[in-house]
Amino acid sequence: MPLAIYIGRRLVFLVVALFGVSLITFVVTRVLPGNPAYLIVGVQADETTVEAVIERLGLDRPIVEQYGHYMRQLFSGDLGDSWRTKNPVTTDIGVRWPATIELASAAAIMAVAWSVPLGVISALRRRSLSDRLANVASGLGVSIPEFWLGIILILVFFFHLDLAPAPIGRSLGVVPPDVTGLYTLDSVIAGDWGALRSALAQLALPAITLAITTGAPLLRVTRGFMRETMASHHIRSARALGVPERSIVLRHALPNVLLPVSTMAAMMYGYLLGGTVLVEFVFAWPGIGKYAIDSINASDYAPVLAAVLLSACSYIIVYLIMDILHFIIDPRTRT
Amino acid sequence: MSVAPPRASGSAAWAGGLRTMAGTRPVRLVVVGATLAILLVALVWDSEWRALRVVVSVLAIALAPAVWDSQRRAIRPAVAVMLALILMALIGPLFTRDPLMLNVGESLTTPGSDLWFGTDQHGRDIFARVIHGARLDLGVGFSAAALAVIVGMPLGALAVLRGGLFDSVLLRISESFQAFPTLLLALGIVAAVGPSIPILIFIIAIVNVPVYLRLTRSAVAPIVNADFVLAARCAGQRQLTILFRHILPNVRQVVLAQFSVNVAWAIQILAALSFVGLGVPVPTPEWGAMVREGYEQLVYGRWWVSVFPGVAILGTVLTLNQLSDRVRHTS
Repeated sequence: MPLAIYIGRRLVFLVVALFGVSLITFVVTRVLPGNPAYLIVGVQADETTVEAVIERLGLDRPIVEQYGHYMRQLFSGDLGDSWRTKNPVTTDIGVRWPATIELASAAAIMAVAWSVPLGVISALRRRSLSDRLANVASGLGVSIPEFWLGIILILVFFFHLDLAPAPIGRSLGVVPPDVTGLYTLDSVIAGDWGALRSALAQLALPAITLAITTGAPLLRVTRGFMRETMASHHIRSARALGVPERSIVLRHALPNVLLPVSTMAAMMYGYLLGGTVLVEFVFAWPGIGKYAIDSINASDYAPVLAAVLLSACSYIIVYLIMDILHFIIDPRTRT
Repeated sequence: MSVAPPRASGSAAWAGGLRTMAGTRPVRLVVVGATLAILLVALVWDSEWRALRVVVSVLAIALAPAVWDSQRRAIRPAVAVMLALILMALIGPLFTRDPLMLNVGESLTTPGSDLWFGTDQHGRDIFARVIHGARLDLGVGFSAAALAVIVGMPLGALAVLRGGLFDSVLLRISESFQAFPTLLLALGIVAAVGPSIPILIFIIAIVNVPVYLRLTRSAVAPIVNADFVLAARCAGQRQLTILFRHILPNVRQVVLAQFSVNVAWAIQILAALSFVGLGVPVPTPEWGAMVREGYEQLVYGRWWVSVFPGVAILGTVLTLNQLSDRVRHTS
């Protein structure tokens, strides 16, 4: 199958998935008990205000018509206004999205960096020290609540050891000129090493927290695939032919393992783009997650929906990109 | 149903008797179902039903040897710890101080021999609150996961049996659901509906249904055309009978392993929701909410307020995950 057709087919799936996502967010707001008008004007508002809002939102019209209206709004890029910040939600999100991307990317890179090598090594040497270490690390990493881990890291590295800066957001004063919105990249582009240091220092603890909790499942998957591959027929054949162990691992086993592992890593990254909520909250990181929580606490509902929608869409898109990359890399998918 | 004659002494006799007693399938289902239901009610019900809780605990202790005996060796440590946790949740609260009692004179006492875990900013005993919190966290965790299984498992199997449009629509919906980050979706729903304990259980169950749906679907797919299913079909059995008597028992182990993980997830979601202030209302002893209270004390170096409830979450979740791993590996 040619690449163009494959991409076309995946794009059709993408549309279906996005449709499903929009349907779910719609159902959550309109069909569940609770009047969305109250979410907008507050519980104390008087009858006439509530009725005005109901009419403006079209809540008195049939549900199918409401859905059509909602979809039209989505297509025109209108996600509503936040009454807490007095801005259109899209503007607010545009400001905060880079912060979440920076945190999620840093966490994903660190997670892959510790978990994949450890998973491979522990699969190769069963019952060794590194295998046991991997066991403990993945067991703890899967089970530890990330908000609590963040707190413990703050306690140890900020309060007791004084190695990390105060957990109050992305920077302590030095902000590099805005190009991409990612402070680390921007400071490199501007050549401002002081800003880079500051940005990295602020990024370290939240990224480590997320890297520990998201790396653990990745480690398990890597170890599982690696064990499976090392026990497979083609590895046995390679051994029988006298291929050196080093080459067996690097040339015969790893390519087979890294393919499914990269899918998992992509899913993890997609998940991270919407899964930084708690860590953002703990470290006062001004991203989408903190925006959502602050909005909920102020009964400001439009931003919450937008954040939910945005993270679901980014998950689907990351997954799509990974799928297409696989199609290019792996000849078996092309039949 | 007849009571077995007394045999050898010790736990084996107990176990044997109980096994015989719970021999036939319908009886066993009813017994297990009723026990679970009572357990959940006793855990979640927000009242001082001491008698009920003591009865349930005695039942749990009586049943423990049967569980112990019937399980394989590797599962035992995790089962033992889990039982201890459930017992702690059930009868522990009877022996502690009042978790809601304010005592400003004693606020923020460091942990010591008198107050094991110290006190929080309102002088409440953290040890008592951690023990009481177990009831809520375990109760909500178990109920939410149970609800998700009850809905998701038959749906997943039915999707395979029916096939066609039904299957693909269900699959698309659950895929779309899984594109949402669990916590953010739960946050969105809580924000729309408002938090209360039944609603929290319901929401955590909803976000977990797709997991069971897909799991059961993938486990059922390879056996749906197996000979024993075809034989049952030829014998003229109804689809639902085939589903519940022939297919679902075969995927039990997989689902059981997932169930344990799912209780752990549910507890983590509940704790996270409470941590950001959208779970249980404020003075209720719940681990996530307690971590949140301690978070504000952290800048003054008062670590104990949030460390102990966090350890409780970690320990419970770790036990449940270990249980799941062991179940999966012994199958």
